[in-house]
Amino acid sequence: MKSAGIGHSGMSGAMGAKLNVTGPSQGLYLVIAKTSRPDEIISRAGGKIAMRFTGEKLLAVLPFNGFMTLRADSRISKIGPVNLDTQRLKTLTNSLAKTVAAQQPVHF
Amino acid sequence: MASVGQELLAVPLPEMVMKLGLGIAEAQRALDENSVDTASLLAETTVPLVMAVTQTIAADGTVSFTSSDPIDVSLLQIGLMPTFYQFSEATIEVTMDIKTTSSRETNIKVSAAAKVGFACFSASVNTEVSHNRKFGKEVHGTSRLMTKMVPVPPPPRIAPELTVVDNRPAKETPDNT
Repeated sequence: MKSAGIGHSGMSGAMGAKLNVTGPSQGLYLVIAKTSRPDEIISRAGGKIAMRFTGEKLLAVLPFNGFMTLRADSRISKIGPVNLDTQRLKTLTNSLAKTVAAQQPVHF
Repeated sequence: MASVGQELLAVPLPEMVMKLGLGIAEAQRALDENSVDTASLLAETTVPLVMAVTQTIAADGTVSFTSSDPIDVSLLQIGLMPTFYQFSEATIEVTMDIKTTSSRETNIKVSAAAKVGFACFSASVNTEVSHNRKFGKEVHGTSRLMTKMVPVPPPPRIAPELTVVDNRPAKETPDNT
């Protein structure tokens, strides 16, 4: 778990409060950018692109601080933590594979 | 002067608990909204999924591959889920450092004077007593609010279930002819 100097507001400043937000060291995030190919923005936040769907929409592995940085970045339209449910993926692929594979010619 | 016990009673603990609770409820709603937004985006985003690849080895040993037509499935369907968080713990710590001092000072000043003169005698005694009582109080207080969030499984019905309805006629076999 890492600390992030984030979450400060006018109220916390007025009260002299110290805020400490910790999160997971790394996580998978769905990122939707306002600009196409936000590779540099993600890279600067310490992230790596795991999968790209469109120019603006991608999955990225980010440290928690990077996630909080991108959340406040005006060039990012949306960012949210996601996780892969491997059981669901397995169920879907098994189910579809049975149907599709039955339509495919098999040569031995 | 208020006693230490009264000072402690003056800590607005119920108010702090109430505000912490309301803050958590508001934060939980924001977190859920964020997760639902993410789920919506995951449902809207589709990826082409190739479900079958056929490898063909020809008689001359050449190998070729043919893949089935890709099927568009949403990210939610392939198991990419928004992470849902839930507040699991909240702690309020109030630390008070109360220091009270009390001091009493009494000053007595006595002066006497006598005068003897012609057929006259006078004497006087002056006494000055002064009491000083000093009270001092220092109160230092710190409060610490701590909340803990844990990821929780998404609602079970967040993604549609895939049901395969196969309407192809059953192949004729020696058993069912």
